[in-house]
Amino acid sequence: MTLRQGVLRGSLLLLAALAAAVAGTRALVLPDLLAVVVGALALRMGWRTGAGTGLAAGWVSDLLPPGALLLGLSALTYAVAGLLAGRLHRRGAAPALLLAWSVLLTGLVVEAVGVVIALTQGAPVDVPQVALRLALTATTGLLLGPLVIRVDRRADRPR
Amino acid sequence: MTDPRRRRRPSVLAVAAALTVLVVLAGLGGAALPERVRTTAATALGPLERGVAALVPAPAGSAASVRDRRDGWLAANADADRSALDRLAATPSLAGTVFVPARLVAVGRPGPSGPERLTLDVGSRDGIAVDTTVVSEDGLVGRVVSVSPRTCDVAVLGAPDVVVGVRVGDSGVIGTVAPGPSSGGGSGEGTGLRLDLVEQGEVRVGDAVTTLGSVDDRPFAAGIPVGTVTAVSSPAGRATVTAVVEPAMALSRSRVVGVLRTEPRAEPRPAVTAGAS
Repeated sequence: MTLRQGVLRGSLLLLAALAAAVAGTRALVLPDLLAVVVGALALRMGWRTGAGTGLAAGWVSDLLPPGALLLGLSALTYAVAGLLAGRLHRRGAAPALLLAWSVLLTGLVVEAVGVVIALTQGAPVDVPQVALRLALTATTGLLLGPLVIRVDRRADRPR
Repeated sequence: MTDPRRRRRPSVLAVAAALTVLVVLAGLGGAALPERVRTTAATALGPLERGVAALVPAPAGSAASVRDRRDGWLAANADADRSALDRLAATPSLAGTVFVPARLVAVGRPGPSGPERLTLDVGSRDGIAVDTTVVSEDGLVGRVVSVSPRTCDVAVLGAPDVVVGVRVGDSGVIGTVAPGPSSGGGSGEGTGLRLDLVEQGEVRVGDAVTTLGSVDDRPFAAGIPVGTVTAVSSPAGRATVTAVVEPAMALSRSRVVGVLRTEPRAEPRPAVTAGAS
């Protein structure tokens, strides 16, 4: 990974986290924008980049106010999600449906960890809301995923 | 024989993941380091978030529809914010309390039952402290869990780490409200809360649930509406009933909230002589 790529990916993650945090005050259910970035980059580059991007995404999510209850947990969760999504990596251009599946898989892992924690604590799980969020995440991945890949690919090229 | 030059070194990713695991373990162990990291990050990123929140247009008619581009609470907030603030100040349950008005600038990644954390645009510079009560015109929003100079983070009612001592109905029977499995459904912004009584008493559907209050009103002041009982059940083998409480607060209506200013009592309370008239 070049410095340019690192800066670009970091900026994408910060932008996604900021947009999600601020838009959360205006909407009841939103797609997981970090999952969109992580899933798209994992599919493009493979499991190592997926895990690394996921780790960075989770840290951004944990550190951007209001953050999470337990610092670092989102980082590990997104890292595992990115790692799994990266296993879908294939050489050449990825079909749109595979991109949506990669983003959905990332969101699915993140939601699953949250649901398991909630169940172990005896907390309620709003299943329709979780399902709606996953559907929105996959749809957003279908729409914005190609853009994320294109921007990342452009940063790859020598100037 | 293995060539020492080819011995595998741990990758940056592995080291970063290992450090993250250590941070999680430190957080689970109650170490101060994660909180310090969080506060430092909030100091740096909070103003950025405030700036972005001020730039994003809000739906027409909402409390934040007029952008605040200047310092000072009412400087650029015309009618919408003023009326929201007036309604908050006129809330009967807040009569006599002193609060700092604040605007919601960010909501954390939602948990399985809805938002658990949110950020307000006031911080230690405004006199905000950890473990103070956050209220809206509808009722209890949550408690402040982290403060940076310009922002503070709030654990919302319904988050796993928010358990509130409450009084229920006219009888004032005491219990606790916490997130829990409920059969009563929700309002679309998280599911209902679980009410567990800590003493025997009667609870009916429709009973109002208010905060019991904490020592020095921290983290929760007394008498703040928490919600309404929507279902009551008597589990077998339990001496007390449990109930489902529909929260009074809805985040979509809570863009302007108040952080109660409660100071610990400094002077000793005077003693009273019994039988004196």
